[in-house]
Amino acid sequence: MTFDTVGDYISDARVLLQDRIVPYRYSTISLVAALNLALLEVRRIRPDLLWDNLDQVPSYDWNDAMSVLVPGTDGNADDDDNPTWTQWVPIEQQFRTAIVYGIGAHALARDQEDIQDEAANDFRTTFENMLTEVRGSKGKTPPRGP
Amino acid sequence: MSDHPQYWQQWKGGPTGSAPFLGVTGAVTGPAFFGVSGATAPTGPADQDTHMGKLYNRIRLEMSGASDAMVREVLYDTLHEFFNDTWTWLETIPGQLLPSTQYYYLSAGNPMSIGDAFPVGVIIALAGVVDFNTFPISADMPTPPIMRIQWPPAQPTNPNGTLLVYATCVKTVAKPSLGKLPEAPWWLVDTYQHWLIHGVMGKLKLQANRPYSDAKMGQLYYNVFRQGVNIGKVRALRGNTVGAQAWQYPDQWRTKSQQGFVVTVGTSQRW
Repeated sequence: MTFDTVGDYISDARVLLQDRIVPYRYSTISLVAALNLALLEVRRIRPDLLWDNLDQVPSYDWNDAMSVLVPGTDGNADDDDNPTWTQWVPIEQQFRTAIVYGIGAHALARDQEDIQDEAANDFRTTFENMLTEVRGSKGKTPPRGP
Repeated sequence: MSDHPQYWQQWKGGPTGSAPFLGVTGAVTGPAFFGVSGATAPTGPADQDTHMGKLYNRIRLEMSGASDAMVREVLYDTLHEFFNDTWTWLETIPGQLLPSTQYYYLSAGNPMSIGDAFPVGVIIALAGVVDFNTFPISADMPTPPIMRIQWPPAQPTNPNGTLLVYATCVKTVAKPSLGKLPEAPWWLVDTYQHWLIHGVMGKLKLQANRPYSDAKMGQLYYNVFRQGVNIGKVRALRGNTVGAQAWQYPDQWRTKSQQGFVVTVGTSQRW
């Protein structure tokens, strides 16, 4: 996976969120919204990463109804048949991991449980560190024991 | 002679040479212009990519957390500062003065120019104007690249009704197109790589709130770059010679006889 497209990011964000079994806990449309928000945050923190898009940060729409069967390509009408799935996300390769954490942070922040808040903060710190620090784990506390 | 490669050849198109320099035969495009007989002249896009690409990659290796877009932009800033402050990039453009015509718009990248006509770059200053006999002609450039002749010839000096002259211009890098590296003369990286690396890295480290921010080291790196700028400027003035006693650069800082017209220059000392 080269993390070129919306679908690449959504797929790996679901791995981080442990949400790979249908029906999903986090809807695809909510993760696409989280991607949009992560890109807005990139524009704020590291505008040089959106050099070509400073005036219009890339934003993606997701319509479940657009996920249709493509004959000969897929056997069902799931996410990867949606045209948004294959849209390009213009971020340099070395910063693409940060975007995945940014998506996860926003998704977790909307959950209700306290434990998710902690995870959301952890993801957000990683996201911001990857954009502003050399070490992505800078300032983070080690995991608590049982 | 045939047993040995010819490493030094006559520059037939030079300003002391015969007519082909100004003619249509082209003075600087010959394949054996610079070095070994039959060798390809060390200019052109391929060489540019090799030299500048190597410099670019070297900086990317050292600057963790820097985006490629930012490195490219700062590379342009650094080259721009280098050429602006050293005046090492010269192009001597042949042209014709018309009777009673004072202003001329100069265009860089003339295939018949002497010096670094390519890449085209941007003209930022006028170093001097001489006629075909290397006699200096008083001129200046209040607004680059428009050249002003102090006393345009009143009468035509050749059958075409014009006066043949050479205008030596100072150039710097042009803004690169999106996603591209700036284009500079082929010798730049070979000669000044050490200082250019420090310049780019210094400017990057001086940025705030970035993974590579380091104000202390940034200042140190930038100072090293400025040393390179000073070295480059002196080398340009001395015509890249060792131990030269006289300033070789077209003497843009003094007036000879036309006092008060800023640039009264000749390139006779240069050649």
